[in-house]
Amino acid sequence: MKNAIVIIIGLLMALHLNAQKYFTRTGMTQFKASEEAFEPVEAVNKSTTAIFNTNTGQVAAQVFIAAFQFDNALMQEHFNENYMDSHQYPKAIFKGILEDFSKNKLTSDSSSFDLDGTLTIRGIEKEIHTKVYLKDENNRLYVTTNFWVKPEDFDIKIPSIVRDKIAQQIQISIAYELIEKK
Amino acid sequence: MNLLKKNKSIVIVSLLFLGIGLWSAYRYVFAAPLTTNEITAGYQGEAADFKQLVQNDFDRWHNKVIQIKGTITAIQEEGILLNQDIYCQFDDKLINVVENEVITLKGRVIGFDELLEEIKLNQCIIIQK
Repeated sequence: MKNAIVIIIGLLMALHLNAQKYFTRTGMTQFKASEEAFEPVEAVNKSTTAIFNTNTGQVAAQVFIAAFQFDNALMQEHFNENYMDSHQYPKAIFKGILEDFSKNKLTSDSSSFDLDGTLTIRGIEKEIHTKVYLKDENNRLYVTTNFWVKPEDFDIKIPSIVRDKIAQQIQISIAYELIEKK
Repeated sequence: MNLLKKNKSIVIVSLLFLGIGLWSAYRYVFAAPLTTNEITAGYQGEAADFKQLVQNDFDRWHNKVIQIKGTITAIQEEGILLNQDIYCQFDDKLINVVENEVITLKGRVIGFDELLEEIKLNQCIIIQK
């Protein structure tokens, strides 16, 4: 009988631990590849799905390429068809881990953690190391970070006619508001 | 005199055409992306039927605007779940929708979400409640 209770409590704890996931369907991922003096080359994606396991510090995110919104229709079309081949590669995927993460470290002020992971765009993987800022407000986790990538890292060919108008280093910024996954 | 008059009208007409041409080119190059409302839906029907349809060929529906009718199974701040596993994101704040309500909406298919195992739509608008 005692054993049974221990097992039940153990199971309940395991279930509780499993439930420690936070997620969003509407995370904001933005990129900026503008060169000064030219038309801005930037877009916002407000449909990123991200899941964060607060027990292990593991993160996974899916960025839907077709959900990047530009101000300019022609630029959006070229981005999808010529540069990102979004029909063939509809998603960019990030998988990584926050080093030494513990949910106890979070407060309503931002704390920083090292993020190590792999970003896959157009089927090509690249290691990413950056700092992530996290805060916990009313059991909502606010995550922000930014890092730089190069088009050639993902074999994205930029025609010489527009080469000067697109930055060599592209800034990617994210801002996700994660809620507990029940 | 007559010749000059004739030439003048030719010049005016040419300038007019040139102006229209430049204006159209400008509009084409700098146009904003079309909204969901402005795009004709490539599929119209029941959400459940659409789910069956995409299972066979998801690529065909990638980045296409569709209009589907289904039951709201969950409501969130920026979107709803239709028939449990079609997530529909709205640009505007959601108002006056309730769970278990049957609605028709139009939105853009942005992909299949493998993390949450749902079909994902964005820029949704409500067509009928």
